[in-house]
Amino acid sequence: MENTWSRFLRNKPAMAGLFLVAAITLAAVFAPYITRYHPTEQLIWTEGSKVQLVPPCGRFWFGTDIYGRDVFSRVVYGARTSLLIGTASTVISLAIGVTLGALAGYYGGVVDDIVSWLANVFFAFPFILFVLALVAYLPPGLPLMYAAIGIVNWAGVARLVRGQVLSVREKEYVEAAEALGGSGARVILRHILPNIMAPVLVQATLGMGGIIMLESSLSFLGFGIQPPTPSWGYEIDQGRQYLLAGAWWWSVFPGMAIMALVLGFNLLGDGLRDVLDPRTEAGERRWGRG
Amino acid sequence: MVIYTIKRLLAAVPVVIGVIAVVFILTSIVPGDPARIIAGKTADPETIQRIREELGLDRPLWEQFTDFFKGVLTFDLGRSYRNNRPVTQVIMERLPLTAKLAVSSTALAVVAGVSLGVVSAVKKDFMLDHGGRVLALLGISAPSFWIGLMLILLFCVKLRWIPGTGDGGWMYLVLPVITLAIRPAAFIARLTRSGMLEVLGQDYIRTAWAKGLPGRAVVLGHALKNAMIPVVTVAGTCMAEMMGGAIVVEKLFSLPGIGRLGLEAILARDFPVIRGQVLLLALVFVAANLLVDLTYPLFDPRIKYGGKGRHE
Repeated sequence: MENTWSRFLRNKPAMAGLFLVAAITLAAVFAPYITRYHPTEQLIWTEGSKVQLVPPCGRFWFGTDIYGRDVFSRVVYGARTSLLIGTASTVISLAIGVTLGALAGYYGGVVDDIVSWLANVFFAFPFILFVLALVAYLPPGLPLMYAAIGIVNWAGVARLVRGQVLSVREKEYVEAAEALGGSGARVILRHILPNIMAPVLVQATLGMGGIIMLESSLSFLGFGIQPPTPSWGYEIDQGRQYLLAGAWWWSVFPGMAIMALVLGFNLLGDGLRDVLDPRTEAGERRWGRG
Repeated sequence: MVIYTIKRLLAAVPVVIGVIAVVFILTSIVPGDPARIIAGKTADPETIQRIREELGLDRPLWEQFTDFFKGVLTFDLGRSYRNNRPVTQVIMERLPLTAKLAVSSTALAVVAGVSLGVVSAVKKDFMLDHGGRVLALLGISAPSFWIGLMLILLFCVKLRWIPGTGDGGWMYLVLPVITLAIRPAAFIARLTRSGMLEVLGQDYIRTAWAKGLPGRAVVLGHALKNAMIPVVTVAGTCMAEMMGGAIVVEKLFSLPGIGRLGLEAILARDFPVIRGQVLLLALVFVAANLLVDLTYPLFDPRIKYGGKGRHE
């Protein structure tokens, strides 16, 4: 464990990812302390006019929007929305997907048929359109909608885990564990899952990023968090209308914020994979010498 | 292989039934009365009742499901609330553009992603690898609509290489196709690299090297084939992601495809069109997933399908 932790600390990309995620999370948590203005406050110059579309400067780091709001404040507060939805939905989809995928891959037969059927049914729906259709059909309520994102998203995880289990269940160490009398649950938990965690971790990381981007897409389309609550996608959509007029900052900074957060999770996931899956790293080293 | 194919084809039937059932359930949980939505706020109760009867909403749920199922089988998905035109006709008018977008983007994503992933794995720890990994990471991390926006700024506004947004020929599709392809390409590149590195560490690859096979034969003939299973899975799902992602890209580039239609239908609460579109795209992807399943044995014949046991 100590060895794993020290290897993780030595992994520079992972530490960079951890730094990005931690910095953005801390910024979101302590948003009131690091922003000068409230994200919905419409600022007014002393002579009475709105502080509209001011380019980035010492006072307004990311400039202001057409309504006279501070873009930096809106970007910082917007992180709360993305992190909350990303975390909740990823946890839900992983819990369901890993469990069902492992059971399907290991036991096969009827279990596999049922899980695969369910996964294929859910998997068949175009994700964003399905969520948007839910928005149209269901009564307004964001917690319900974002819980639905997590539940709908499990199929991809299950499919990946099932495929991975199918490919390792042929290995000698699984047969050995079974020959020694290991129960199905024990073999899955002790011998199979640890050996397929690398792709699951990558999937979880990308899933987190994917969900954060889905939320921003929904906001971009006008179906996410309702204004004036800040959301990165909504800011990009609003800002793009003034992009050609030269007000690039309104859409560029929220886009960079999304990229930074998703990049952070990607780097972190990759680093965790390198640390937790030495087999892959050993393979890489062998190839590197070859 | 033939038995496996037949089994997979038969396995698609319950999925289709499941898809139709989920879409029907989605329709049935609509809060409020669709008849009231069609009739308008000022309609009298008699008119609403008449519409309810016309739509069959006064009948038991299972009868409605049976009718819906029959309608799907005969391509009768009802009529649009907005213009009273058949839903199938409305969708089919918009489908070709989105299909063109999705197919082109998938092809681009697979070619670019696999190439980048293989080069990155083979040249591990060289500049090409570092550059490829950074590109892939950025591609996965940036939202497609934001990339699209930056592409518009660069190619339409600054360089003026592309005329602009809208539907006016293949030139207008270049940026949307690139925008749609970037994220899946980056994802495929990462998966290919990771799969290749794992495979390249296996004993049989060392054996291939020891036999004196040329590098291209080892990498493409032995390693890539065995690293392709996750890539094939993702390539199959690419289409689904792109059909969904088309909503965003079509809005950004003002393209009148099926994504834009869905957005318009959702804004207007045109339920038959929403239902028809979700159903149609879902059924298209049942076919795509089936194709993915059918390609597995080509890459790893050891995997036994159908879950009847590993030693069959």
